[in-house]
Amino acid sequence: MVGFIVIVVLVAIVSVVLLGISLREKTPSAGRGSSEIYQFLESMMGYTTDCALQYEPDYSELIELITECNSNSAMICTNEENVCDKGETNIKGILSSSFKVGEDRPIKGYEFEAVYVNEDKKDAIFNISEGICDGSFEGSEYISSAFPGTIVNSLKLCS
Amino acid sequence: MMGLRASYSKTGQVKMQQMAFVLVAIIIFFALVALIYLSIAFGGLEKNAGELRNKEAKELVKKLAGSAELFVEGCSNCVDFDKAVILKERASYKGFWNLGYFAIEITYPESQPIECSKANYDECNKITLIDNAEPGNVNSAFVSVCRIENSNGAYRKCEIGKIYASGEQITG
Repeated sequence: MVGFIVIVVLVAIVSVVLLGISLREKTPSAGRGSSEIYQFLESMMGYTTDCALQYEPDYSELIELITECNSNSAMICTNEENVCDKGETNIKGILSSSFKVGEDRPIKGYEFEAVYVNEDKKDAIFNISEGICDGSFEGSEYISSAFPGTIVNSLKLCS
Repeated sequence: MMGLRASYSKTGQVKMQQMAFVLVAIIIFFALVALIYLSIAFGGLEKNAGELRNKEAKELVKKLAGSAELFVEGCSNCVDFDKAVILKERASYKGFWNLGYFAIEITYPESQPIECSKANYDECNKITLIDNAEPGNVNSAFVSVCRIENSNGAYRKCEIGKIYASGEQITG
């Protein structure tokens, strides 16, 4: 009888430990990488704007406007619009049409950042956000070359 | 002649019976533990299968974006809208993709979806290549939708779009 009780206790302890290990959910990380968001950023950076820097119809992609805005914020397009204003308008339009945010929606908010990084130096180029971002989020980054540094374009979708 | 007689100890017999009961109890106990473990372990199987199906569908959408029929040179995440319109009209491509649903839509600039045909190609923003009655679970992915624009000189214009697909395999 004592032996039976010992066996039961041992099995119960081992079962509880194994159960705890198998049922333990991964701690919901504050942020997760997302390939879908990376694809979106890749598409967004390749968007053909209506701003031509040299001549028409050599219209620039959005990533070119961001790069140009970083190196020369006074640059203007052939249609007299400032590259930084044009870039910001396009980014806001693309984000607002692609992601509907709201308290009652799956996406509560988003944050987009374009930052020039060169060793320890970081200069913000664009910082666009909408809604509320204080919980868990999914995000990704799209990096482009801007010699001698790089431009890191990051997007966080908050839920 | 001396008769042989075995003497049975009552205490010994009781102990043997006790041992038998204990063994049966241990077997039943372990069977219950195994039952509980199996029910917990297989409880999440359906959810895992669903997640796997979803992941496969997302991979399918990415594969479609890079397929030779819609490929844009120099751009890994682009689909050629001009090619898609031509494919829609080609009878030889009916049934080429073994899918329940396959469509490409330009999402920015935002506007009401207008299905493309040869007559309205300049104003349209959506091409539905396959639309079966029961498409199943439709997945989508962002892509760059590119076409040749002829206003102000010919140039390649790429816009933000989505590719929608449902199904499990493509040929080619």
